[in-house]
Amino acid sequence: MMINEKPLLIGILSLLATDVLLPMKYIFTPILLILLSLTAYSQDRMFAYTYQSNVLNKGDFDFEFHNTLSTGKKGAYSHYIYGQHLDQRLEYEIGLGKNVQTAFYLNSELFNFADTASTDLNQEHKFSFSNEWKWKLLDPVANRFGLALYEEIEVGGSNWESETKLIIDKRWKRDILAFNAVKKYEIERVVRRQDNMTSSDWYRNSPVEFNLAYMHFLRPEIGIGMEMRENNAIDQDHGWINSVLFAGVAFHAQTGKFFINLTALPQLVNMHKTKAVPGNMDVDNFEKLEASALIGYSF
Amino acid sequence: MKRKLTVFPFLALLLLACSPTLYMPDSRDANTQPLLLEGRKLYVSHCSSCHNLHLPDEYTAITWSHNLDEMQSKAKINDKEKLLIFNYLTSKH
Repeated sequence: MMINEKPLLIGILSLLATDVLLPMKYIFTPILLILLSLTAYSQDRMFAYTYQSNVLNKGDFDFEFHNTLSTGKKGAYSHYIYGQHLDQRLEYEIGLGKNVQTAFYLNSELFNFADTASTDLNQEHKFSFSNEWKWKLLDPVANRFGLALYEEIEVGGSNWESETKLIIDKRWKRDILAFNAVKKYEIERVVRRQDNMTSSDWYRNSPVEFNLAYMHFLRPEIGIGMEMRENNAIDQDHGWINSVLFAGVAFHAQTGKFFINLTALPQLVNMHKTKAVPGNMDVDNFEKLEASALIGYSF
Repeated sequence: MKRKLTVFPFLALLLLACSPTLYMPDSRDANTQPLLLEGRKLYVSHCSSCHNLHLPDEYTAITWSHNLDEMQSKAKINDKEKLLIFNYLTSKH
């Protein structure tokens, strides 16, 4: 099935101008402006997706603003409808000492979806709250490799999610290599629209992700590298049903206490071809492209 | 399917073969090795629980001295321990 690009463009533009998103701008913009007016930094992340074992220094804290735009998924609501997904997270992260840090998130998820034969857009907007904990078990400089455990709980109006990560990384003088094994458990109310009929069901799944990232620092404040993400969909009834590999370029820069992490991840290959999804790409179940920008300020 | 899923864990296992980036004094420093090892142990145990460790060549000896003076009370180390850490951090300078 050919994808009509017109709704895609309209969708992206509408994400920037929509009335639904405007309240978020009113919340986030003043916060970012306040942060800009403020003046050794510490941070625990160099990548947009892949985590490292480092934790914030005791008493340090930072604000991070995550933006992830996912697009190109045909089957967002049905096989005849596709959409874009803008995921925004505002994070307040605190180093507690004893190799532990915690963070609190406000999450906003905006879906734009349209029938491929029309330019009419529908929107769905969800808010949720998250709390994460990270515990560093091995330091990536002092030991052969760094090791940390991560747990995050997300609670929203129509979803509940837990995310457990095993984080392994290695830091050399000018290079970082990091690997995450991620197990999620999600309970989500999914709205379906077909033939002008809307219905919803509670849906449970437990995807497994593997993230691998490498970065080389050209200068202490500028790094360039790559991220790979293997995303595996696991259904309670059918087991392992889909698997795709995303990979793309990662960039990190910091100036003073500000830092930015950028990653663009196009879907490279469908790793689990089935009768239902026989092609080299699986855009029925996964996005064609994910682009993420993480902007942070460390105190 | 299982074969494909082994790719990433395999790459992670490569990390296990790495040696520590923070250098370990060896027998070539025979005269000072025990003291340097003690300094390394103190540096890792007293400093890494509160912040990310810096590599010895990230700072000059003067800056390390200043940093250690500043952190001494927070790290709860006495003057002798501070000197052991300083000697370890600057032994390759």
